[in-house]
Amino acid sequence: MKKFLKEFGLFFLTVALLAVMINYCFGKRYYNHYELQYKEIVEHKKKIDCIILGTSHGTHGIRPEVLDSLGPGFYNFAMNGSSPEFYWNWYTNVFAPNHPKPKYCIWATDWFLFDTVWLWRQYEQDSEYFPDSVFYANLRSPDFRRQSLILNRIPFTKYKSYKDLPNLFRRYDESQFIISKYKDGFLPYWPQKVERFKDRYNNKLKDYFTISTRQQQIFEKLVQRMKDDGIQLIFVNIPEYGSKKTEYEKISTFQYLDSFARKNNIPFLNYNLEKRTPISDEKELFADWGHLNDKGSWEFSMILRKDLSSIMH
Amino acid sequence: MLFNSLGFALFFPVVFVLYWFVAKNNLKAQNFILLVSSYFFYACWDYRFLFLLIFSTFLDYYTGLKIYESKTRQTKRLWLLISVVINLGFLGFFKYYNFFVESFAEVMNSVGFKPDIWTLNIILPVGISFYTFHGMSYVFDIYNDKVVPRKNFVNYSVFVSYFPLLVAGPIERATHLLPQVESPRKFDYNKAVDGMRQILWGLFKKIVIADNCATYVNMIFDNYQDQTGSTLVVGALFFAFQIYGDFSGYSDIALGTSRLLGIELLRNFAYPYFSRDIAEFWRRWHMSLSSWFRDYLYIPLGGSKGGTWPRVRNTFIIFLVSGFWHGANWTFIAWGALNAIYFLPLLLSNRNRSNMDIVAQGKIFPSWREAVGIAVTFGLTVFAWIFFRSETVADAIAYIGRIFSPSLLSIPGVISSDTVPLMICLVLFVIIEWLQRDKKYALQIEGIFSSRLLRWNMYIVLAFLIYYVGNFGHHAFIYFQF
Repeated sequence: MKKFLKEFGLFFLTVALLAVMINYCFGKRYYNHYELQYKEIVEHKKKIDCIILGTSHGTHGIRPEVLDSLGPGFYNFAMNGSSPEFYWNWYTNVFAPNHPKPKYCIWATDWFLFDTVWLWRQYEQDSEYFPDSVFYANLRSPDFRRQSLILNRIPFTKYKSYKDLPNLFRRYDESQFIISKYKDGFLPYWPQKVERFKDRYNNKLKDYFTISTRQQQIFEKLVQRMKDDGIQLIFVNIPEYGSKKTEYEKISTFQYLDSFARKNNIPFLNYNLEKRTPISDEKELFADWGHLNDKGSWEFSMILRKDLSSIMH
Repeated sequence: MLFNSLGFALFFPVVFVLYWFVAKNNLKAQNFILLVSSYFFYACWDYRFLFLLIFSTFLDYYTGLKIYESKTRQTKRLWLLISVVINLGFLGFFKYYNFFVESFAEVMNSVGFKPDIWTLNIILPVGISFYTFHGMSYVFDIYNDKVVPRKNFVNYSVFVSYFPLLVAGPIERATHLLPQVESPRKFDYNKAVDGMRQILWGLFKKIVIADNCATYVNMIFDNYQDQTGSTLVVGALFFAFQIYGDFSGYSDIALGTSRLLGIELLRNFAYPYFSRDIAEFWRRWHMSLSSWFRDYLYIPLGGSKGGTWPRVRNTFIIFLVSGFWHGANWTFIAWGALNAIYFLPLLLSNRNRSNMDIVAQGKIFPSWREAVGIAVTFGLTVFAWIFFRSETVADAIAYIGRIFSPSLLSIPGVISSDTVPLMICLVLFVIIEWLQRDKKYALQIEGIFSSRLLRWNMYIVLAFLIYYVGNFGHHAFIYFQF
């Protein structure tokens, strides 16, 4: 029995040690700007009066440092693949309990805002980045699956697909993003990848997404909650490469957002429709069809600053 | 509590420690721990049916004693009849009541009557087919003077409800398991290591092979009307691997777990897909059920003795009953009938026992004759599995009909970069099983790799393969529903 237990223990330890090593490598694989975004919420290093929400188009498109000169402090909390449901959980469980209420919220609303395939991010998936206090508070909450929170907290269990394995020993993000320029939640793309420009989204754009009623309802609920908290919302649609007004006008998400914004007295700056600028025609300002690159984000943020100055008094 | 769940990973070490360290060499205490843990294990599924399990145990215990005490053959037969009627009554009620009522109503409908049917919302108690058959084999063996009834109720209860085999077998025999339950057990290092290896291999079969195949099988069978012929062929092939990986994987984990407790269970699978004919397949697939039906149904009916008609009748009876045992659905009966049709030519030409040895023993490759035999048998088996997996017989026929369409020659829709890891694992799986076909299970490698370091590396690779390629959706084992 002793020999068996000793050998089994040794085998178990070997496997555990390998798992810890893999865990470490996965933990170091990404430049965790998400972790920094969450950290800011509990540490309050910057005085933030305006939060920026949205998907990856927002994360890599709006530069708080450019907007800061308007007066209020800006911070980019946009995260790729984040839906209204994600932000409802984020706001009610992370932001509101841990951070003073800001005056403004810029929500980078895309045409796929209510599509749950495009916007895949689940709140529990982010437990890897949660500050300890947020993680433990969520563990106690009946709203979330405890097992999911725990498994997503540990990189070894989070990245358990064989597809993740080839990335074990390389820092995936460095080839895509200019990490040295990370600031206040914003992370710029390298100016690159002409071959990634494909026109396919323009032609049949309206067929590329669906509208989830549930996401729409949660969106409305969150907007109402923010209004109740005294936050002024501003919707922004970030420029996309080669966007055609005639096609974008047909997109039902924009029609809905337009009417919703009017009804709720929310400014809606759509840079692919009425506020379209020459940025949308300049390939060198984009990393791909939907993401501005370093230079593009700078130029766009300058335009946005000008437009916001008349809204933020 | 599934074998491949966190619950079992916590439960078993506790049982192991109590069994070997607290009870130590005290047989009574060890059996008591086995009984309590088995009941706990069962109650985790559904505590309400624990009483049914205890009642069934007591019924066979009592009727066994009564059969033994009876002075005349008639009284013995009466007690046997009581046991069989009550056992099959419970099984029939929980498993087949709705099937019979609905089938009766359909027949009446077809002749113009519209009877008020009385179906019930019955939950099938997990493992009922298995523990009922355990108990019945005990009573039959007492009746046939093969076993003396046990007075110790705890020992007998452990035989019926021993947790590694409780919910999906192997279907044990009193002659094999009871003596082990009654004998002192000492921890055996080699057996324990062997048990661990078999568990690891069982997990690989279940989590990597079966559960990954299940994803595609469900997708294809649930929407077979929209699939191409070639995709449907892939679906049937994947199901063949799914059901084998699932059930034999379960059996490997059960055998390995039991070996860690010092108890050997009956072997349930012996590389059935390498069979050269259907008769050999049935000697290698779900062996504990096949031998149960052989001993308690086929042989009492006369077996293969007598003229052509009794042999044909007995063959059909045993295969139809075997099909029906799997569930209350005509698809299982069709599956049984198909296997009977496959089997009959071999039986009638007295070639049903011509492949008793291990295929291509001592060689790496089979002969052409053997290869053709294996391919034909596998093809026939896969064809029959379509009935087993389909919702209805009409679905199975439509599925087969769609296979034989021009789209049979197209590239299967499910083949993509996502299926590559599964394909690689399937090829590896078949190769390893083929190379190890003379062993009790495929990971029995201590004689092949003398270096411990090499063996350990293989275990580690397998463990990580299970982790990274496995499907952890916690699919229940298919045979739990039977």
